[in-house]
Amino acid sequence: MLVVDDDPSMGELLCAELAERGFEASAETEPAKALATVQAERFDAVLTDLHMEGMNGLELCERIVAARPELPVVLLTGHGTLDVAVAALRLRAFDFMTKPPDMDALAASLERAARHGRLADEVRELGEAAPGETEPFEGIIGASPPMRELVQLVGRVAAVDAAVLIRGESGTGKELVARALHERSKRRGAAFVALNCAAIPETMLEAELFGHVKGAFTDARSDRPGLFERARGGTIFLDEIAELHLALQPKLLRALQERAIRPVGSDREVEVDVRLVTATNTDLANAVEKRQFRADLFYRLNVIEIAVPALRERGRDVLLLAQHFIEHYARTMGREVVGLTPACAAKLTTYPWPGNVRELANVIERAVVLTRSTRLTVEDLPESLREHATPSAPPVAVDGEELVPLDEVERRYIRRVMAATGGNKTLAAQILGVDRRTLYRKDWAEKPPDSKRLL
Amino acid sequence: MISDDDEKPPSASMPAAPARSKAATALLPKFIGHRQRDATDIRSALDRGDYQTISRLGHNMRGNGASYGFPDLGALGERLETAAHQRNEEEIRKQLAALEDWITNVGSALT
Repeated sequence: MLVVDDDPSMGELLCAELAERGFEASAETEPAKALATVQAERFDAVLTDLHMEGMNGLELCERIVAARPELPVVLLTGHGTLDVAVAALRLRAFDFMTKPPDMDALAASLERAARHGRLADEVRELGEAAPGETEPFEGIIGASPPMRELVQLVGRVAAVDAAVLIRGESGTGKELVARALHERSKRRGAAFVALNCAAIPETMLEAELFGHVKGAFTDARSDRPGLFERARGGTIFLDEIAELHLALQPKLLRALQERAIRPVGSDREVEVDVRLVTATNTDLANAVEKRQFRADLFYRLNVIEIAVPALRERGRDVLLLAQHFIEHYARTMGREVVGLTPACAAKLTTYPWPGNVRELANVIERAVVLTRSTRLTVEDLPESLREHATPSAPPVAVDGEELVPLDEVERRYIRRVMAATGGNKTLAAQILGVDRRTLYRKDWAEKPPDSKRLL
Repeated sequence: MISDDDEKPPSASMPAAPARSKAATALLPKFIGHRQRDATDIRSALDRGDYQTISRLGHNMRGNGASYGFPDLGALGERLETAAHQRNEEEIRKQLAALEDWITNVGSALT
Protein backbone atom coordinates (compact mmCIF):
# COMPACT_ATOMS: atom_id res chain seq x y z
CA MET A 1 0.00 0.00 0.00
CA LEU A 2 1.14 3.53 -0.63
CA VAL A 3 -0.18 6.11 1.81
CA VAL A 4 -0.07 9.69 0.57
CA ASP A 5 -0.57 12.47 3.12
CA ASP A 6 1.30 15.76 3.34
CA ASP A 7 0.94 15.52 7.10
CA PRO A 8 3.70 13.12 8.22
CA SER A 9 1.83 12.36 11.48
CA MET A 10 -1.13 11.01 9.53
CA GLY A 11 1.04 9.07 7.09
CA GLU A 12 2.93 7.44 9.97
CA LEU A 13 -0.25 6.60 11.86
CA LEU A 14 -1.99 5.11 8.82
CA CYS A 15 1.08 3.00 7.96
CA ALA A 16 1.33 1.74 11.56
CA GLU A 17 -2.39 0.94 11.76
CA LEU A 18 -2.27 -0.87 8.42
CA ALA A 19 0.86 -2.79 9.44
CA GLU A 20 -1.03 -3.99 12.54
CA ARG A 21 -3.67 -5.34 10.19
CA GLY A 22 -1.18 -7.21 8.05
CA PHE A 23 -0.54 -4.69 5.28
CA GLU A 24 2.85 -3.62 4.07
CA ALA A 25 2.52 0.14 3.76
CA SER A 26 4.85 3.03 3.08
CA ALA A 27 4.10 6.74 3.26
CA GLU A 28 4.79 9.62 0.91
CA THR A 29 4.24 13.26 1.92
CA GLU A 30 4.58 14.83 -1.53
CA PRO A 31 1.87 13.96 -4.08
CA ALA A 32 4.18 14.53 -7.07
CA LYS A 33 6.70 12.09 -5.60
CA ALA A 34 3.88 9.64 -4.91
CA LEU A 35 2.88 9.79 -8.59
CA ALA A 36 6.45 8.99 -9.63
CA THR A 37 6.63 6.19 -7.04
CA VAL A 38 3.49 4.41 -8.27
CA GLN A 39 4.88 4.50 -11.79
CA ALA A 40 8.20 3.02 -10.71
CA GLU A 41 7.11 0.52 -8.07
CA ARG A 42 4.33 -2.00 -7.70
CA PHE A 43 1.57 -1.32 -5.16
CA ASP A 44 -1.73 -3.08 -4.55
CA ALA A 45 -3.56 0.17 -3.80
CA VAL A 46 -3.04 3.84 -2.95
CA LEU A 47 -4.61 5.60 0.02
CA THR A 48 -4.45 9.35 -0.36
CA ASP A 49 -5.50 12.38 1.63
CA LEU A 50 -7.70 14.89 -0.20
CA HIS A 51 -6.32 18.26 0.93
CA MET A 52 -2.63 18.43 0.15
CA GLU A 53 -0.26 21.12 -0.92
CA GLY A 54 0.87 21.12 -4.54
CA MET A 55 -1.61 18.57 -5.80
CA ASN A 56 -4.87 17.65 -4.11
CA GLY A 57 -6.05 14.08 -3.70
CA LEU A 58 -8.57 14.32 -6.53
CA GLU A 59 -5.92 15.47 -8.98
CA LEU A 60 -3.55 12.78 -7.75
CA CYS A 61 -6.31 10.18 -8.13
CA GLU A 62 -7.01 11.39 -11.69
CA ARG A 63 -3.33 11.21 -12.62
CA ILE A 64 -2.83 7.78 -11.05
CA VAL A 65 -5.91 6.45 -12.85
CA ALA A 66 -4.53 7.87 -16.13
CA ALA A 67 -1.05 6.43 -15.57
CA ARG A 68 -1.97 3.14 -13.89
CA PRO A 69 -5.66 2.42 -14.55
CA GLU A 70 -5.46 -0.91 -12.75
CA LEU A 71 -4.21 0.66 -9.49
CA PRO A 72 -7.13 1.35 -7.10
CA VAL A 73 -7.13 4.66 -5.22
CA VAL A 74 -8.95 5.20 -1.93
CA LEU A 75 -9.53 8.83 -0.91
CA LEU A 76 -9.49 10.02 2.68
CA THR A 77 -10.73 13.42 3.70
CA GLY A 78 -11.79 15.46 6.68
CA HIS A 79 -14.82 16.70 4.76
CA GLY A 80 -17.51 14.20 3.93
CA THR A 81 -19.21 16.45 1.41
CA LEU A 82 -21.34 15.14 -1.42
CA ASP A 83 -19.45 17.20 -3.97
CA VAL A 84 -16.17 15.58 -3.08
CA ALA A 85 -17.68 12.09 -2.90
CA VAL A 86 -19.23 12.45 -6.35
CA ALA A 87 -16.03 13.96 -7.78
CA ALA A 88 -14.00 11.08 -6.32
CA LEU A 89 -16.29 8.45 -7.75
CA ARG A 90 -16.42 10.19 -11.14
CA LEU A 91 -12.64 10.10 -11.21
CA ARG A 92 -12.93 6.35 -10.69
CA ALA A 93 -11.60 6.42 -7.15
CA PHE A 94 -12.16 2.98 -5.66
CA ASP A 95 -13.58 4.27 -2.38
CA PHE A 96 -13.97 7.41 -0.34
CA MET A 97 -13.72 7.63 3.46
CA THR A 98 -13.80 10.36 6.06
CA LYS A 99 -11.29 11.29 8.78
CA PRO A 100 -10.73 10.09 11.37
CA PRO A 101 -11.15 6.78 9.62
CA ASP A 102 -12.55 3.67 11.22
CA MET A 103 -9.35 1.70 10.71
CA ASP A 104 -11.07 -1.68 10.39
CA ALA A 105 -13.43 -0.32 7.74
CA LEU A 106 -10.49 1.36 5.99
CA ALA A 107 -8.47 -1.88 6.09
CA ALA A 108 -11.46 -3.77 4.65
CA SER A 109 -11.79 -1.21 1.88
CA LEU A 110 -8.08 -1.43 1.08
CA GLU A 111 -8.24 -5.22 1.07
CA ARG A 112 -11.06 -5.05 -1.47
CA ALA A 113 -9.09 -2.46 -3.43
CA ALA A 114 -6.03 -4.73 -3.43
CA ARG A 115 -8.10 -7.68 -4.63
CA HIS A 116 -9.54 -5.49 -7.37
CA GLY A 117 -6.04 -4.28 -8.28
CA ARG A 118 -4.66 -7.79 -8.50
CA LEU A 119 -7.54 -8.83 -10.75
CA ALA A 120 -6.96 -5.78 -12.95
CA ASP A 121 -3.27 -6.68 -13.17
CA GLU A 122 -4.20 -10.17 -14.21
CA VAL A 123 -6.52 -8.87 -16.92
CA ARG A 124 -3.83 -6.52 -18.21
CA GLU A 125 -1.23 -9.28 -18.23
CA LEU A 126 -3.59 -11.50 -20.19
CA GLY A 127 -3.90 -8.80 -22.82
CA GLU A 128 -0.14 -8.38 -22.92
CA ALA A 129 0.71 -12.06 -22.86
CA ALA A 130 3.23 -12.86 -25.54
CA PRO A 131 2.13 -15.39 -28.14
CA GLY A 132 2.92 -18.81 -26.77
CA GLU A 133 2.33 -18.01 -23.13
CA THR A 134 -1.27 -19.04 -23.41
CA GLU A 135 -0.72 -21.30 -26.40
CA PRO A 136 -3.64 -23.70 -26.67
CA PHE A 137 -3.07 -27.45 -26.76
CA GLU A 138 -4.85 -28.50 -29.97
CA GLY A 139 -7.32 -25.67 -29.39
CA ILE A 140 -7.73 -26.43 -25.67
CA ILE A 141 -7.10 -23.26 -23.66
CA GLY A 142 -6.53 -23.38 -19.94
CA ALA A 143 -3.89 -23.00 -17.28
CA SER A 144 -5.90 -24.16 -14.26
CA PRO A 145 -4.79 -27.34 -12.45
CA PRO A 146 -7.75 -29.44 -13.71
CA MET A 147 -7.06 -28.34 -17.29
CA ARG A 148 -3.35 -29.04 -17.00
CA GLU A 149 -4.24 -32.54 -15.80
CA LEU A 150 -6.68 -32.94 -18.67
CA VAL A 151 -4.13 -31.89 -21.28
CA GLN A 152 -1.54 -34.29 -19.83
CA LEU A 153 -4.08 -37.12 -19.88
CA VAL A 154 -5.10 -36.34 -23.47
CA GLY A 155 -1.43 -36.36 -24.49
CA ARG A 156 -0.90 -39.79 -22.92
CA VAL A 157 -4.18 -41.34 -24.07
CA ALA A 158 -3.97 -40.06 -27.65
CA ALA A 159 -1.21 -42.47 -28.57
CA VAL A 160 -3.13 -45.50 -27.26
CA ASP A 161 -5.68 -46.76 -29.75
CA ALA A 162 -8.31 -47.47 -27.12
CA ALA A 163 -11.92 -46.31 -26.88
CA VAL A 164 -12.34 -43.15 -24.85
CA LEU A 165 -15.44 -41.90 -23.06
CA ILE A 166 -15.40 -38.16 -22.44
CA ARG A 167 -17.57 -37.01 -19.58
CA GLY A 168 -18.50 -33.41 -18.96
CA GLU A 169 -21.32 -30.92 -18.72
CA SER A 170 -22.81 -29.45 -21.85
CA GLY A 171 -20.61 -26.77 -23.38
CA THR A 172 -17.37 -27.81 -21.69
CA GLY A 173 -15.64 -28.61 -24.98
CA LYS A 174 -15.89 -32.39 -25.18
CA GLU A 175 -15.62 -32.35 -28.97
CA LEU A 176 -12.46 -30.26 -28.70
CA VAL A 177 -10.97 -32.95 -26.47
CA ALA A 178 -12.02 -35.63 -28.96
CA ARG A 179 -10.38 -33.68 -31.80
CA ALA A 180 -7.22 -33.26 -29.71
CA LEU A 181 -7.14 -37.04 -29.15
CA HIS A 182 -7.40 -37.52 -32.92
CA GLU A 183 -4.82 -34.86 -33.81
CA ARG A 184 -2.30 -36.29 -31.34
CA SER A 185 -2.82 -39.88 -32.49
CA LYS A 186 -1.31 -41.83 -35.35
CA ARG A 187 -4.71 -41.54 -37.03
CA ARG A 188 -4.37 -37.78 -37.54
CA GLY A 189 -3.79 -38.19 -41.31
CA ALA A 190 -7.24 -39.75 -41.70
CA ALA A 191 -10.71 -38.33 -41.10
CA PHE A 192 -12.26 -37.14 -37.84
CA VAL A 193 -16.01 -37.61 -38.10
CA ALA A 194 -18.36 -36.26 -35.42
CA LEU A 195 -22.02 -37.06 -34.84
CA ASN A 196 -24.41 -36.01 -32.11
CA CYS A 197 -26.61 -39.03 -31.34
CA ALA A 198 -29.38 -36.78 -30.00
CA ALA A 199 -29.52 -34.77 -33.22
CA ILE A 200 -30.39 -37.63 -35.56
CA PRO A 201 -33.82 -39.31 -35.52
CA GLU A 202 -33.60 -42.82 -34.16
CA THR A 203 -34.80 -44.32 -37.45
CA MET A 204 -31.98 -42.67 -39.41
CA LEU A 205 -29.16 -43.16 -36.95
CA GLU A 206 -28.33 -46.72 -37.97
CA ALA A 207 -27.98 -45.75 -41.64
CA GLU A 208 -25.98 -42.69 -40.63
CA LEU A 209 -23.53 -44.81 -38.65
CA PHE A 210 -23.27 -47.91 -40.80
CA GLY A 211 -24.47 -46.69 -44.21
CA HIS A 212 -27.11 -48.31 -46.40
CA VAL A 213 -27.50 -50.00 -49.76
CA LYS A 214 -29.75 -48.93 -52.59
CA GLY A 215 -33.35 -49.85 -51.87
CA ALA A 216 -32.77 -50.45 -48.15
CA PHE A 217 -35.63 -48.03 -47.46
CA THR A 218 -37.88 -45.67 -49.42
CA ASP A 219 -35.37 -42.84 -49.89
CA ALA A 220 -32.33 -45.09 -50.34
CA ARG A 221 -31.83 -44.43 -54.07
CA SER A 222 -28.19 -45.46 -54.03
CA ASP A 223 -25.57 -47.05 -51.80
CA ARG A 224 -24.30 -44.65 -49.19
CA PRO A 225 -21.38 -45.30 -46.86
CA GLY A 226 -21.90 -44.55 -43.16
CA LEU A 227 -19.65 -42.77 -40.69
CA PHE A 228 -17.65 -45.90 -39.90
CA GLU A 229 -16.65 -46.25 -43.52
CA ARG A 230 -16.07 -42.54 -44.09
CA ALA A 231 -13.83 -42.38 -41.05
CA ARG A 232 -11.75 -45.32 -42.25
CA GLY A 233 -8.37 -45.18 -40.53
CA GLY A 234 -9.49 -42.18 -38.50
CA THR A 235 -11.66 -41.34 -35.50
CA ILE A 236 -15.42 -41.33 -34.97
CA PHE A 237 -16.74 -39.05 -32.27
CA LEU A 238 -20.23 -39.84 -31.02
CA ASP A 239 -21.54 -37.12 -28.73
CA GLU A 240 -24.47 -37.67 -26.35
CA ILE A 241 -23.95 -41.40 -26.54
CA ALA A 242 -26.53 -41.93 -23.78
CA GLU A 243 -29.16 -41.00 -26.36
CA LEU A 244 -28.27 -44.03 -28.49
CA HIS A 245 -31.39 -46.16 -28.64
CA LEU A 246 -31.28 -49.54 -26.91
CA ALA A 247 -32.04 -51.32 -30.21
CA LEU A 248 -28.95 -49.81 -31.83
CA GLN A 249 -26.59 -50.43 -28.93
CA PRO A 250 -25.83 -54.11 -29.75
CA LYS A 251 -25.01 -53.11 -33.34
CA LEU A 252 -22.49 -50.54 -32.16
CA LEU A 253 -21.05 -53.08 -29.70
CA ARG A 254 -20.64 -55.57 -32.51
CA ALA A 255 -18.92 -53.00 -34.71
CA LEU A 256 -16.40 -52.42 -31.93
CA GLN A 257 -15.86 -56.06 -31.10
CA GLU A 258 -15.75 -57.47 -34.62
CA ARG A 259 -14.30 -54.38 -36.30
CA ALA A 260 -16.95 -54.91 -38.95
CA ILE A 261 -20.28 -53.34 -39.77
CA ARG A 262 -23.26 -54.29 -41.86
CA PRO A 263 -24.84 -51.44 -43.86
CA VAL A 264 -28.64 -51.23 -43.61
CA GLY A 265 -30.22 -53.52 -46.17
CA SER A 266 -26.96 -55.31 -46.93
CA ASP A 267 -26.19 -58.95 -46.31
CA ARG A 268 -22.43 -58.55 -46.33
CA GLU A 269 -20.13 -57.21 -43.68
CA VAL A 270 -17.64 -54.41 -44.26
CA GLU A 271 -14.42 -54.29 -42.27
CA VAL A 272 -13.74 -51.01 -40.53
CA ASP A 273 -10.73 -49.52 -38.81
CA VAL A 274 -11.70 -46.61 -36.62
CA ARG A 275 -11.08 -45.35 -33.15
CA LEU A 276 -14.28 -44.62 -31.31
CA VAL A 277 -14.44 -41.66 -28.97
CA THR A 278 -17.76 -41.04 -27.25
CA ALA A 279 -19.02 -38.34 -24.93
CA THR A 280 -21.82 -37.85 -22.47
CA ASN A 281 -23.12 -35.16 -20.19
CA THR A 282 -25.10 -37.64 -18.12
CA ASP A 283 -24.10 -40.33 -15.67
CA LEU A 284 -23.79 -43.28 -18.03
CA ALA A 285 -23.08 -45.72 -15.19
CA ASN A 286 -26.39 -44.69 -13.67
CA ALA A 287 -28.09 -45.28 -17.03
CA VAL A 288 -26.57 -48.79 -16.99
CA GLU A 289 -27.99 -49.41 -13.53
CA LYS A 290 -31.40 -48.29 -14.74
CA ARG A 291 -31.01 -50.60 -17.75
CA GLN A 292 -31.25 -47.66 -20.14
CA PHE A 293 -27.78 -48.40 -21.46
CA ARG A 294 -26.17 -51.78 -22.04
CA ALA A 295 -23.47 -52.62 -19.54
CA ASP A 296 -21.34 -54.50 -22.10
CA LEU A 297 -21.34 -51.49 -24.45
CA PHE A 298 -20.62 -49.12 -21.55
CA TYR A 299 -17.48 -51.08 -20.59
CA ARG A 300 -16.43 -51.27 -24.22
CA LEU A 301 -16.75 -47.49 -24.63
CA ASN A 302 -15.33 -46.64 -21.24
CA VAL A 303 -11.88 -48.20 -21.63
CA ILE A 304 -10.43 -44.80 -20.78
CA GLU A 305 -12.52 -42.08 -19.22
CA ILE A 306 -11.66 -38.41 -19.50
CA ALA A 307 -13.57 -35.90 -17.37
CA VAL A 308 -13.75 -32.36 -18.73
CA PRO A 309 -14.14 -29.88 -15.85
CA ALA A 310 -16.98 -27.38 -15.78
CA LEU A 311 -15.93 -23.78 -16.39
CA ARG A 312 -16.82 -22.80 -12.81
CA GLU A 313 -14.17 -25.31 -11.60
CA ARG A 314 -11.48 -23.76 -13.78
CA GLY A 315 -10.76 -20.60 -11.79
CA ARG A 316 -9.00 -17.91 -13.80
CA ASP A 317 -9.27 -19.93 -17.03
CA VAL A 318 -12.44 -17.95 -17.62
CA LEU A 319 -10.28 -14.85 -18.17
CA LEU A 320 -7.87 -16.69 -20.47
CA LEU A 321 -10.79 -17.98 -22.50
CA ALA A 322 -12.53 -14.59 -22.49
CA GLN A 323 -9.35 -12.97 -23.81
CA HIS A 324 -9.06 -15.67 -26.47
CA PHE A 325 -12.66 -15.15 -27.59
CA ILE A 326 -12.29 -11.35 -27.54
CA GLU A 327 -9.27 -11.57 -29.84
CA HIS A 328 -11.03 -14.09 -32.07
CA TYR A 329 -14.29 -12.16 -32.44
CA ALA A 330 -12.59 -8.76 -32.68
CA ARG A 331 -10.49 -10.12 -35.54
CA THR A 332 -13.38 -11.78 -37.39
CA MET A 333 -15.69 -8.79 -36.92
CA GLY A 334 -13.01 -6.18 -37.55
CA ARG A 335 -13.68 -4.48 -34.19
CA GLU A 336 -11.18 -2.64 -32.02
CA VAL A 337 -11.67 -4.59 -28.80
CA VAL A 338 -8.59 -5.59 -26.83
CA GLY A 339 -9.75 -6.85 -23.44
CA LEU A 340 -11.94 -6.49 -20.38
CA THR A 341 -12.38 -3.86 -17.69
CA PRO A 342 -11.63 -5.14 -14.16
CA ALA A 343 -15.30 -4.88 -13.17
CA CYS A 344 -16.28 -6.94 -16.20
CA ALA A 345 -13.55 -9.48 -15.38
CA ALA A 346 -14.89 -9.71 -11.82
CA LYS A 347 -18.36 -10.49 -13.16
CA LEU A 348 -17.02 -13.18 -15.46
CA THR A 349 -14.97 -14.86 -12.73
CA THR A 350 -17.82 -15.03 -10.23
CA TYR A 351 -20.63 -16.12 -12.55
CA PRO A 352 -21.27 -19.89 -12.33
CA TRP A 353 -21.46 -20.44 -16.13
CA PRO A 354 -24.13 -23.16 -16.32
CA GLY A 355 -23.58 -23.24 -20.10
CA ASN A 356 -19.82 -23.48 -19.66
CA VAL A 357 -17.34 -22.41 -22.37
CA ARG A 358 -20.04 -22.34 -25.03
CA GLU A 359 -22.00 -19.81 -22.98
CA LEU A 360 -18.86 -17.73 -22.39
CA ALA A 361 -18.10 -17.69 -26.12
CA ASN A 362 -21.66 -16.51 -26.87
CA VAL A 363 -21.48 -13.82 -24.17
CA ILE A 364 -18.17 -12.50 -25.51
CA GLU A 365 -19.34 -12.59 -29.13
CA ARG A 366 -22.42 -10.56 -28.20
CA ALA A 367 -20.35 -8.13 -26.11
CA VAL A 368 -17.81 -7.59 -28.90
CA VAL A 369 -20.72 -6.71 -31.22
CA LEU A 370 -22.36 -4.33 -28.74
CA THR A 371 -19.47 -2.61 -26.99
CA ARG A 372 -18.65 1.03 -27.58
CA SER A 373 -15.24 0.83 -25.96
CA THR A 374 -12.00 -1.01 -26.53
CA ARG A 375 -12.47 -2.97 -23.31
CA LEU A 376 -15.65 -4.89 -22.60
CA THR A 377 -17.57 -3.41 -19.68
CA VAL A 378 -20.25 -4.82 -17.39
CA GLU A 379 -22.79 -2.95 -19.51
CA ASP A 380 -21.81 -5.09 -22.50
CA LEU A 381 -22.79 -8.28 -20.68
CA PRO A 382 -26.26 -9.84 -20.84
CA GLU A 383 -28.71 -8.98 -18.05
CA SER A 384 -28.38 -12.42 -16.42
CA LEU A 385 -24.68 -11.75 -15.83
CA ARG A 386 -25.04 -8.09 -14.91
CA GLU A 387 -27.60 -8.99 -12.27
CA HIS A 388 -25.61 -11.87 -10.88
CA ALA A 389 -24.24 -10.78 -7.50
CA THR A 390 -20.46 -10.43 -7.49
CA PRO A 391 -19.26 -11.68 -4.08
CA SER A 392 -16.06 -9.67 -4.37
CA ALA A 393 -17.97 -6.44 -5.02
CA PRO A 394 -17.29 -3.89 -2.30
CA PRO A 395 -19.76 -4.70 0.44
CA VAL A 396 -21.19 -2.03 2.69
CA ALA A 397 -19.41 -1.26 5.91
CA VAL A 398 -22.00 -2.46 8.39
CA ASP A 399 -22.22 -0.67 11.67
CA GLY A 400 -19.91 -2.04 14.30
CA GLU A 401 -20.31 -5.72 14.86
CA GLU A 402 -23.84 -5.80 13.53
CA LEU A 403 -24.50 -8.88 11.45
CA VAL A 404 -27.18 -8.49 8.82
CA PRO A 405 -28.64 -10.64 6.04
CA LEU A 406 -27.11 -10.34 2.57
CA ASP A 407 -30.10 -8.55 1.07
CA GLU A 408 -29.84 -5.96 3.83
CA VAL A 409 -26.13 -5.49 3.03
CA GLU A 410 -27.08 -5.01 -0.62
CA ARG A 411 -29.84 -2.58 0.29
CA ARG A 412 -27.54 -0.50 2.52
CA TYR A 413 -24.73 -0.48 -0.01
CA ILE A 414 -26.99 0.70 -2.81
CA ARG A 415 -28.31 3.44 -0.52
CA ARG A 416 -24.74 4.43 0.27
CA VAL A 417 -23.86 4.66 -3.41
CA MET A 418 -27.09 6.51 -4.13
CA ALA A 419 -26.25 8.97 -1.36
CA ALA A 420 -22.68 9.39 -2.57
CA THR A 421 -23.87 10.13 -6.09
CA GLY A 422 -26.51 12.57 -4.94
CA GLY A 423 -29.24 10.28 -6.24
CA ASN A 424 -27.76 10.05 -9.74
CA LYS A 425 -28.96 6.62 -10.83
CA THR A 426 -26.85 6.49 -13.97
CA LEU A 427 -23.67 7.14 -12.02
CA ALA A 428 -24.80 4.85 -9.18
CA ALA A 429 -25.54 2.05 -11.67
CA GLN A 430 -22.07 2.52 -13.18
CA ILE A 431 -20.42 2.27 -9.78
CA LEU A 432 -22.52 -0.74 -8.78
CA GLY A 433 -21.87 -2.45 -12.08
CA VAL A 434 -25.56 -3.05 -12.71
CA ASP A 435 -27.99 -1.94 -15.35
CA ARG A 436 -29.77 1.33 -14.63
CA ARG A 437 -33.12 -0.43 -15.08
CA THR A 438 -32.10 -2.91 -12.41
CA LEU A 439 -31.62 -0.02 -10.03
CA TYR A 440 -35.10 1.27 -10.84
CA ARG A 441 -36.57 -2.13 -10.09
CA LYS A 442 -35.10 -2.04 -6.57
CA ASP A 443 -37.79 0.10 -4.96
CA TRP A 444 -35.59 1.05 -2.00
CA ALA A 445 -33.25 2.76 -4.42
CA GLU A 446 -36.08 5.19 -5.11
CA LYS A 447 -35.97 6.56 -1.59
CA PRO A 448 -34.27 9.92 -1.28
CA PRO A 449 -30.57 9.57 -0.52
CA ASP A 450 -29.46 10.20 3.01
CA SER A 451 -27.00 13.00 2.44
CA LYS A 452 -25.72 12.87 6.00
CA ARG A 453 -24.54 9.31 5.76
CA LEU A 454 -22.01 9.18 3.03
CA LEU A 455 -20.24 6.13 4.27
CA MET B 1 -16.45 35.13 14.01
CA ILE B 2 -15.17 32.72 16.55
CA SER B 3 -17.72 31.78 19.20
CA ASP B 4 -17.08 31.67 22.93
CA ASP B 5 -17.14 27.89 22.81
CA ASP B 6 -14.31 27.95 20.33
CA GLU B 7 -12.22 30.04 22.70
CA LYS B 8 -11.82 27.18 25.14
CA PRO B 9 -8.14 26.15 25.27
CA PRO B 10 -7.32 22.58 24.33
CA SER B 11 -7.09 20.06 27.08
CA ALA B 12 -3.79 20.62 28.82
CA SER B 13 -3.40 17.01 29.79
CA MET B 14 -3.75 13.61 28.21
CA PRO B 15 -7.47 12.96 27.69
CA ALA B 16 -8.70 10.43 30.21
CA ALA B 17 -9.99 7.69 27.98
CA PRO B 18 -9.81 8.62 24.33
CA ALA B 19 -10.17 5.90 21.75
CA ARG B 20 -6.45 5.94 21.09
CA SER B 21 -5.13 2.90 19.29
CA LYS B 22 -1.95 1.03 20.17
CA ALA B 23 -0.34 2.37 16.98
CA ALA B 24 -1.26 5.97 17.86
CA THR B 25 0.05 5.56 21.42
CA ALA B 26 3.37 4.22 20.14
CA LEU B 27 3.71 7.17 17.80
CA LEU B 28 2.85 9.85 20.39
CA PRO B 29 6.43 11.10 21.04
CA LYS B 30 6.91 11.54 17.29
CA PHE B 31 3.50 13.19 17.02
CA ILE B 32 4.39 15.75 19.67
CA GLY B 33 7.72 16.37 17.91
CA HIS B 34 5.80 17.14 14.70
CA ARG B 35 3.55 19.57 16.58
CA GLN B 36 6.64 21.32 17.97
CA ARG B 37 7.82 21.75 14.41
CA ASP B 38 4.34 23.02 13.46
CA ALA B 39 4.56 25.66 16.21
CA THR B 40 7.95 26.83 14.88
CA ASP B 41 6.67 26.84 11.31
CA ILE B 42 3.53 28.78 12.28
CA ARG B 43 5.61 31.40 14.09
CA SER B 44 7.94 31.94 11.11
CA ALA B 45 5.00 31.86 8.63
CA LEU B 46 3.28 34.53 10.71
CA ASP B 47 6.44 36.67 10.64
CA ARG B 48 6.47 36.60 6.82
CA GLY B 49 2.67 36.85 6.46
CA ASP B 50 2.35 33.36 4.97
CA TYR B 51 -1.25 32.61 5.97
CA GLN B 52 -1.53 29.75 3.49
CA THR B 53 1.03 27.69 5.40
CA ILE B 54 -0.75 28.43 8.69
CA SER B 55 -4.06 27.41 7.17
CA ARG B 56 -2.55 24.13 5.91
CA LEU B 57 -0.92 23.33 9.25
CA GLY B 58 -4.16 24.14 11.09
CA HIS B 59 -6.10 21.96 8.67
CA ASN B 60 -3.71 19.05 9.17
CA MET B 61 -3.89 19.43 12.95
CA ARG B 62 -7.66 19.28 12.72
CA GLY B 63 -7.39 15.86 11.05
CA ASN B 64 -4.47 14.38 12.94
CA GLY B 65 -5.60 15.65 16.38
CA ALA B 66 -8.80 13.63 16.13
CA SER B 67 -7.02 10.62 14.67
CA TYR B 68 -4.48 10.52 17.55
CA GLY B 69 -7.23 10.85 20.16
CA PHE B 70 -6.86 14.60 20.84
CA PRO B 71 -10.17 16.12 19.78
CA ASP B 72 -9.27 19.41 21.54
CA LEU B 73 -6.13 19.71 19.44
CA GLY B 74 -8.32 19.09 16.39
CA ALA B 75 -10.54 22.00 17.48
CA LEU B 76 -7.45 24.18 17.97
CA GLY B 77 -6.32 23.31 14.46
CA GLU B 78 -9.71 24.30 13.12
CA ARG B 79 -9.51 27.68 14.88
CA LEU B 80 -6.02 28.20 13.46
CA GLU B 81 -7.24 27.39 9.97
CA THR B 82 -10.17 29.80 10.30
CA ALA B 83 -7.96 32.55 11.72
CA ALA B 84 -5.50 32.10 8.83
CA HIS B 85 -8.33 32.43 6.31
CA GLN B 86 -9.39 35.63 8.07
CA ARG B 87 -5.73 36.78 8.26
CA ASN B 88 -6.42 37.37 11.97
CA GLU B 89 -2.89 37.70 13.35
CA GLU B 90 -4.01 38.22 16.94
CA GLU B 91 -6.12 35.09 16.94
CA ILE B 92 -3.31 33.11 15.30
CA ARG B 93 -0.87 34.21 18.05
CA LYS B 94 -3.45 33.24 20.67
CA GLN B 95 -3.92 29.77 19.17
CA LEU B 96 -0.17 29.39 18.74
CA ALA B 97 0.30 30.04 22.45
CA ALA B 98 -2.42 27.48 23.20
CA LEU B 99 -0.64 24.99 20.95
CA GLU B 100 2.67 25.56 22.75
CA ASP B 101 0.92 25.04 26.12
CA TRP B 102 -0.62 21.85 24.81
CA ILE B 103 2.77 20.57 23.64
CA THR B 104 4.35 21.33 27.03
CA ASN B 105 1.57 19.71 29.02
CA VAL B 106 1.09 16.61 26.88
CA GLY B 107 4.86 16.27 26.50
CA SER B 108 5.37 16.32 30.27
CA ALA B 109 2.44 13.95 30.80
CA LEU B 110 4.22 11.51 28.54
CA THR B 111 7.52 11.58 30.39
